[in-house]
Amino acid sequence: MTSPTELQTEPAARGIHCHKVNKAFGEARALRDFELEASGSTVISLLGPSGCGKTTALRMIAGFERPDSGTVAIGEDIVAGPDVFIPPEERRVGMVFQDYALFPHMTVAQNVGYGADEAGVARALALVGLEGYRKRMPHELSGGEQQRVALARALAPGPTAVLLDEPFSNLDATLRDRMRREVRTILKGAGTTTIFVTHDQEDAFAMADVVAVMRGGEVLQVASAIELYRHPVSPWVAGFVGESDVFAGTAVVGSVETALGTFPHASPLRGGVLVMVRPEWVHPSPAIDGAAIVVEQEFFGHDQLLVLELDGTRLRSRVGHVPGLGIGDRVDVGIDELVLFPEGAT
Amino acid sequence: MTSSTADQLNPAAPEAGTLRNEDAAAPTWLWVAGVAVVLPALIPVVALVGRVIGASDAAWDALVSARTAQLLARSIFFALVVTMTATSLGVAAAWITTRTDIRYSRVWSTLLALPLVIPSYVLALSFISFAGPRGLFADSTGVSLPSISGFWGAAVVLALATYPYVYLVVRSTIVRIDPSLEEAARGLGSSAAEAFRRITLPQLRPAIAASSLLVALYTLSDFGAVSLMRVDVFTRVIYAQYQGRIDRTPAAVLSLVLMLIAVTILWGESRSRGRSVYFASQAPRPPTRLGLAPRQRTAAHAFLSITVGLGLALPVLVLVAWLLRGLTTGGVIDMRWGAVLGSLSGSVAAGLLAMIAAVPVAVLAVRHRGRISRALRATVYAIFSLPHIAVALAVVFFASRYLGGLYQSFVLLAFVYATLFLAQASGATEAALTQINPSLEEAARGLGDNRLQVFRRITLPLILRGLMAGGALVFLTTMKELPATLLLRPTGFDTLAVRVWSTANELSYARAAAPALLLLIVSAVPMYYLIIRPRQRV
Repeated sequence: MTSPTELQTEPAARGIHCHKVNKAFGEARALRDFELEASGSTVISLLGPSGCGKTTALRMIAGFERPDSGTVAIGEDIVAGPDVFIPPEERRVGMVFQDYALFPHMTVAQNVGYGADEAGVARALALVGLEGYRKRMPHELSGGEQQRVALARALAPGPTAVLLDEPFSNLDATLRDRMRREVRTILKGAGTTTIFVTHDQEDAFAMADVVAVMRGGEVLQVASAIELYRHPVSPWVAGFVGESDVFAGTAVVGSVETALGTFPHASPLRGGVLVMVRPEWVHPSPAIDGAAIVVEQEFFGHDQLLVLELDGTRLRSRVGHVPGLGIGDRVDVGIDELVLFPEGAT
Repeated sequence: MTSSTADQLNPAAPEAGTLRNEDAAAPTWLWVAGVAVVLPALIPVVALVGRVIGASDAAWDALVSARTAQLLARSIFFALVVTMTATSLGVAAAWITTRTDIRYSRVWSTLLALPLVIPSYVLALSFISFAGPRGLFADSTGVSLPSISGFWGAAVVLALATYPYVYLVVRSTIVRIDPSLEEAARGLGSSAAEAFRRITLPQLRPAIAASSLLVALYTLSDFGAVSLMRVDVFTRVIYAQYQGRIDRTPAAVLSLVLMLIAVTILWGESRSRGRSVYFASQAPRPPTRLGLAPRQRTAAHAFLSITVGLGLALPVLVLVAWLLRGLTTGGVIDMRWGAVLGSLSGSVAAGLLAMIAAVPVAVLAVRHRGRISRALRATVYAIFSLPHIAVALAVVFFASRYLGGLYQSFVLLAFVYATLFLAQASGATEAALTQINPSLEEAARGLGDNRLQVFRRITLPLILRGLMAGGALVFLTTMKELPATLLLRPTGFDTLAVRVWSTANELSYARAAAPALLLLIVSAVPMYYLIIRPRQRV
């Protein structure tokens, strides 16, 4: 692979800005006041369940859909807004499709050269490490190679931003791991703003600098992976990005009382709250008069998953080996970290 | 990944695929092109409607009668019988040649497609001249067979003439289906037959629907076979009305009724097909062929032999026999090179015109679904389904009054041909276009091409084979065309079809043999290279 600087675009021309974008297909509202800011060589992920509007958002930025209201800007140019609609071919945005959409009647070089000159082809092929594949036809390539060609094709014209639609959904698990790293390296090397759509939280965490969680056409939270995992804005986001358990508690200044005990917190919330914990934040210790009982135990080698029960509340604990702990044993529960939500939050 | 708690709090978000807003995206010039291509075709229809509205009371009395009701019932039943037979034949033939281990499947594939080059009236002629009175069989044995003419004889002839449409379309689709789908069904406990019925057949549905629609419309507008075999369906009755009366209004009235039937069939078809759009990719590997038990093999061979025997071997042998008889008894070879030239020039012009016109219609129908594109497409199919005699009549009325020098000119005739058969070109183009994932075109636009550039660099190369197949279909169909040629040809213009027709009408079978055989040969060559061979390589 060549040096990362060669395909870089001018910093001023970079960035995607969506403001209050709405889009409906008949009765179905695909996007509601959709907001997104991406700039520099950031890799941003739109993460959400199927039907949440993430692909519509991507197609809107690319110019394949027209927003009903709101504005979309690429760099300093408004490309969609009141009385403005720039067609896709004038947006300088590289799109990588879920099925790659390689032109079946063209060679690798012709595909990559579709929107670029020979120098662009050479640079892009070098960047994805496929210099020797120029004369191959798309059907002669493996899945990972096809993806790299699609990426090279999107990068070759030197786009302002690269958009990827579920880029790893057609790959098997091993290849998926490798391609996540490779694609991220390539995109960072090219230095473009990248937006990619996925329903898989692992894809998002492994690839993205910033993750935007979407649901029902709305962006619920935009944050780094760590922030998202540790400080989700709602129980739904908590559950969507990782394993979580939620139970009731009563918050006072500095601490929260629950059936499992009283734990410290720094939240401004007071009164009835929902307490969210992740299994690895929960630590059981054997105690004859412990408040909770181990009701399930699943052993994975590097760790184990325990299900603890107290007064009908169940929560999971992911811990290493705890000597002498088994199903039916009583335990005390220690909690490293917790997140509080207002009562009734979803 | 998601916790049980979160799942309880939030019932699963609604599942939905990618929504595309396809209606909004079509540019104005594409609509203009689509309408411009279809609009002139409507003129004869308007002329026809005008004539019917201005018709006398007597003509309306003629329309509303028991005889008309009977004619209506007979015509619809006839089309139904032919379509069902042709569809069964076509699907069965496609399945046997692609999914079983029958031997010489390549040879069978070619033979099964070949009846397409035999015009229905030539097939009818060969049946009559073999088994009918004064036919070969009666002549050489002295035994006269029960009459081959009439409803069922004509139904067999038309089914044999039309099943290749279903066969070719279904065959080319079946080989693109991923065999692992059927294997998955087998793994889940389905028999081979059940897997075919539950998995493959539904995927073939658009292909079967499209091709059997073609068969139904072909049957309704067929004039040659039904008139030779004396079945009183709409076309034959209309022709009789036109020829036999000074007032041609009844012919116009009946033509309009026939048009309404065709429109009704189209409406039903579009309803049944719904919104299914298949982005079938190429099959990743060839399917495992089903091993036939000896009995099944015998049955399959018998089925294929009878189909090919009646649809291909019989007409060729009968025509050759008549040609030889003509040669030995009187040295009669009635061959006119002017007719060959006329057939070729008319068909080539029609094929090229139809290919050009097919593109906007197909692009609108596949990529920009909506009320207007559906209306355009339905119009194209409706025009294809009209009895050619009716369109020819309407053009005669219109051209003789308004078009002056164009009336009875080659240019007008070529345009009428292309208009009549546009559905074949646009249908084949639509099928090809449906195979192209729209994301290919979007990818090209994202890379900086406008719509026209994308069409030239991506869409056209990928649909070219389908477009040419469509042009070839128009070429072939024009070659066989009879009634429009009879009414609209310029003075002195002759075609092979007209030669066959006029000599067969004089019951001089020996004279009809040479032009009929020549018609077979000239249409067999492009047929083989443009349609049959490319599909076998798939």
